[in-house]
Amino acid sequence: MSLDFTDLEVGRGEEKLVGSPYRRLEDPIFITKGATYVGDLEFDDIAHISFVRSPVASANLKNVDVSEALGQPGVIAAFTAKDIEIPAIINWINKVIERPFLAKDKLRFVGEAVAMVIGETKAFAEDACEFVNIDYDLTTPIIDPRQSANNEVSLFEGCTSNIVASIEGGQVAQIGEVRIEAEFVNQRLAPCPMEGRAVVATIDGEMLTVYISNQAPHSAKRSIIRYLSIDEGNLRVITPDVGGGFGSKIGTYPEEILVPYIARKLNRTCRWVETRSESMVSLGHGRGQIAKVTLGGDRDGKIRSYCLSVIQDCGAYPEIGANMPALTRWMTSGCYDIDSVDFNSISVLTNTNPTVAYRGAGRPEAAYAIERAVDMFATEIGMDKAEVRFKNFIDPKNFPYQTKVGSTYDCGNYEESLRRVLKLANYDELLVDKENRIKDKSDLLLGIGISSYVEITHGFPAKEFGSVELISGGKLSVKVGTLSHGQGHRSAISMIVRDVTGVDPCNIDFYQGDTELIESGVGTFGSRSMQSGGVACKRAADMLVTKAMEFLSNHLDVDLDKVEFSWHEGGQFSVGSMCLSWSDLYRLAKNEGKVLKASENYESSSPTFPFGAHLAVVEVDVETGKVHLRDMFAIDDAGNILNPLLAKGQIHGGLAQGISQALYEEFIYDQDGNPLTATFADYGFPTAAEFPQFRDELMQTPTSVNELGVKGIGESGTIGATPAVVNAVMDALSVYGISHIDMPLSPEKVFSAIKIAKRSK
Amino acid sequence: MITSSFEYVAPRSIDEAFSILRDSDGEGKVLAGGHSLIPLMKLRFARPSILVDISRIDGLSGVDEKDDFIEIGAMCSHAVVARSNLIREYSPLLAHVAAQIGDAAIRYRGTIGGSICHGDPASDMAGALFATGAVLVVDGPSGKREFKIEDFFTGFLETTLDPEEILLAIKLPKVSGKYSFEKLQRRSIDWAIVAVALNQVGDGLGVGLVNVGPTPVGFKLSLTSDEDTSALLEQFSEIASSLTPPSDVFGSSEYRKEMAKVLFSRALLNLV
Ligand SMILES: Cc1cc2nc3c(=O)[nH]c(=O)nc-3n(C[C@H](O)[C@H](O)[C@H](O)COP(=O)(O)OP(=O)(O)OC[C@H]3O[C@@H](n4cnc5c(N)ncnc54)[C@H](O)[C@@H]3O)c2cc1C
Repeated sequence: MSLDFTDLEVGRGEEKLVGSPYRRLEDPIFITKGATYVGDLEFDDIAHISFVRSPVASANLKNVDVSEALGQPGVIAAFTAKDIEIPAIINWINKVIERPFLAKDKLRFVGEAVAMVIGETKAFAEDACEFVNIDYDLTTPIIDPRQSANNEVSLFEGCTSNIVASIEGGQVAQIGEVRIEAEFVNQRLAPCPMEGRAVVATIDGEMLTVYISNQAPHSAKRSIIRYLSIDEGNLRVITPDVGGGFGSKIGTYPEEILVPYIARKLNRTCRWVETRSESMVSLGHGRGQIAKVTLGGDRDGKIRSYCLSVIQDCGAYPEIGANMPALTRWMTSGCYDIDSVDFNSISVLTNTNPTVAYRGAGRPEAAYAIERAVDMFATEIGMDKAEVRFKNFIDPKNFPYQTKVGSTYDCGNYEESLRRVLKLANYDELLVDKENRIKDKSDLLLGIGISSYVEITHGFPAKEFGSVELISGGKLSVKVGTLSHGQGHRSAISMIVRDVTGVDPCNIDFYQGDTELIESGVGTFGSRSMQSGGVACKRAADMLVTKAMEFLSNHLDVDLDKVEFSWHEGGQFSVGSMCLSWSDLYRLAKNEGKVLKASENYESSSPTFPFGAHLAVVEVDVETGKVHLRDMFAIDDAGNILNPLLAKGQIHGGLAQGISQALYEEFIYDQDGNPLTATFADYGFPTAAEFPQFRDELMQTPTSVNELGVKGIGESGTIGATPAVVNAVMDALSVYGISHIDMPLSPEKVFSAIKIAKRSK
Repeated sequence: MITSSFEYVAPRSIDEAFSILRDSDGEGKVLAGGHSLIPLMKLRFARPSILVDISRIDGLSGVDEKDDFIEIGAMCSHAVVARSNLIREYSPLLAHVAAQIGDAAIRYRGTIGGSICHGDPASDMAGALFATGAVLVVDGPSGKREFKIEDFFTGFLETTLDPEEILLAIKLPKVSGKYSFEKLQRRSIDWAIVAVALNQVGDGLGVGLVNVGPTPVGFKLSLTSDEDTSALLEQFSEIASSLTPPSDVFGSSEYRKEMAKVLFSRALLNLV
């Protein structure tokens, strides 16, 4: 395969690029030279930071002694809480809760940073960490969120309980002939980005420059300003290539603030690149929700009431994870038109690593609960699982549709996506295969799992920045406040700008992730980027064309309506028989000392609600309990698709993560709060070999919320795939009367469930 | 995730390796593929002061045919074992098992010697060697010694090897009977939750069990007739009930015991 795009079958002609499978502009350099991560940046005289972390989940901290560490070879300095003069972080939900930058008085989870050692090399720093002595008295940890909710002793002094946030509700009357009650656990997950956290802070006079691997550099800048009391003008935050985040790099962690703090204190460039061991125990975890559902329905298949009660595990400090139930709540009733719907939640503290947003963030939990409950209902009334869904979908004619919990779905056609996935999967043949295996008493049962999902993207609409400037040679410089960390924004946004201006994407310089170059920005999370930054760039490009035409009309002193623009042939301005290119315009403007540039701070009016239907086919080995995912089908609708290659990349990665939650991943603490899955040998991070070839198709129901007609596609896979896979396994096990097993569906769990079911038969 | 500091040497001869190990006062460690040793060092569970890389020593990575046995150099990678024509002909079980270890990258680095000397009960290679009846050739300060595989493992990650000894080769009888290997794992790259290797050697059925106790285990069952599997199942059941498999996030001890039986009966059915 050639890397210079000469074999491109798209993007050469006189056709619009948007919608075509244009190859990623990002890839040639990734494949040849490689990416540039924070850990790759070279600096003279750099000092290396290592953290000493709490070995226990709960203790009174008596003393931290770094004196021995200071005597080790290559050690520059070592610090404990006593040396950090920044006031503790006041918690955003509960002002009584403070998080010190290094543990002080208490140890609250295994992995909490307790001390830092700065060495001439990373190896010196790591070696010296072993000589930091932590003196503590163990206290009883709380690990189980259910127990935490009812615990008499609260983990923070001054708090009346361990419940840090709650949403009231759940008093809804249960109606219908049949009542389904169940409890579903969304287990904790470790995000495992390929690149962990990494920060470099470097000082030049008054100027502090911080390089950080994250998803939102402008908000990192605000955090650093707040805690370091530095002038805005003296701080530049740069985010180079980022090797994945999945939500775990939205916020700024205490360790990440400490790096610039120490760099200033030592007046020396400092770097911290977390090790995998650190990342597993202290990069924010995902999920951690226990849901109780009550579904009421009639025997004709109509669902009449649905109530979801959630306990969210926040971990030791309430971070963004504490707020996940709010997102779950928005999506409570999923794709269904249900008369009576309600939701309530509590978010509780435990002695574990804090939870944060993780791909899907609250919506996978909602989809999982209702899709499992609908399957149980179908089983109970003996109805086909597709049919029960068709009976309850929101009518496509009823959009925009306001749900009982107050979300307004922009558009949707849930029936169509389910119909398409059933067809793609040959559903009827699968049903026959399944029955035959039961008849033949096969040890390899077939299971078919359906999940219809709808989710919310760009859930918190906020202004996003985009600008387009004409530069030398008729090229364009595009700047955006979102932050691609693998998604391919350079490609997508260049395609959008090209279709407006005619300028070939190869002649578009793309900038993101630098607070000096980009005036403002929100970042990338919640599948927000194209519907915020993408639209901003589109508008900026439109405005640039208008500005250029106005400039030309002034310059030539002709009426504006005599100036014409066509995006064809690289973008052409014509006035009468005269024809000018972007390059001509740049020269003319430059001669007049003018810069042609347009920028937009775009704020969309509301979120969007992508949807789809996934279907998993599994084989369950009843003698061992091992589940084999044979096929995975997906129909996803995220509105207009800018580039199907990029969209499919997002879908495939999401499917893998979603499947993996169902079958493999779980971050486990024992009852004392010790992590049991802190390495890749124990934590069930999947490899490509665990997945079948995905069979997916895109469906496009454009939204009218924005002029591109786009919704988000970054998280669909983790939302739809998880319930599809679990539903498939439960479908296979229904012959034994098994209705639910909590994830991940390990061979032993499945085997034990079968064994118990057989015994009670 | 970063090892404590250590020295590294890559001697060209076995005698040089012995003398470095002798001078290291028990602080030295042989490095083969490093796939077990380096992770332990990164977690700082192991802190050898000097690593003696034996990959450049001649004569440790060949496969040779002798009269009634074949001899496999300790430094043969799993990939070499899986591909070797001699092994495929005279000990097909071993080649078959080697091909199922980890993924391609692991098979290219991991060695048969390292897999045995590490003393890991989860070693598939140990299971295959038990089923075949291997003899291990060891050299060191007390001279060349040979061990039957069943005398080699002494405890969890412990073998009878002296810190200054090196495993040179593994001798396997030439066999041509039926064999099979059943491995239950979580992810494709994972070690076995449990695995069972069977090899028909002479008039007996060699059995090797993976991950069912503190050490790899094996034994021989007598084969009366090809058809009579129920007698074999009974014999096996009895032995299985005395096993003490580990409990971890991949499976409880109880589950492993049950799976040993399931896999054994599958392995019997699948003998080829
Ligand atoms: C992700 C992963 C998955 C794996 N999956 C499997 C699997 O499915 N099945 C399986 O069986 N194995 C598996 N392995 C094991 C791997 O294939 C290696 O066989 C094993 O790790 C040890 O071999 P090594 O050559 O790397 O030994 P090393 O790690 O170099 O050494 C291991 C120990 O043996 C000692 N040693 C090595 N060679 C000698 C010698 N000749 N004489 C004396 N002492 C010696 C070393 O000092 C050390 O103590 C896996 C490994 C990894 C990392």
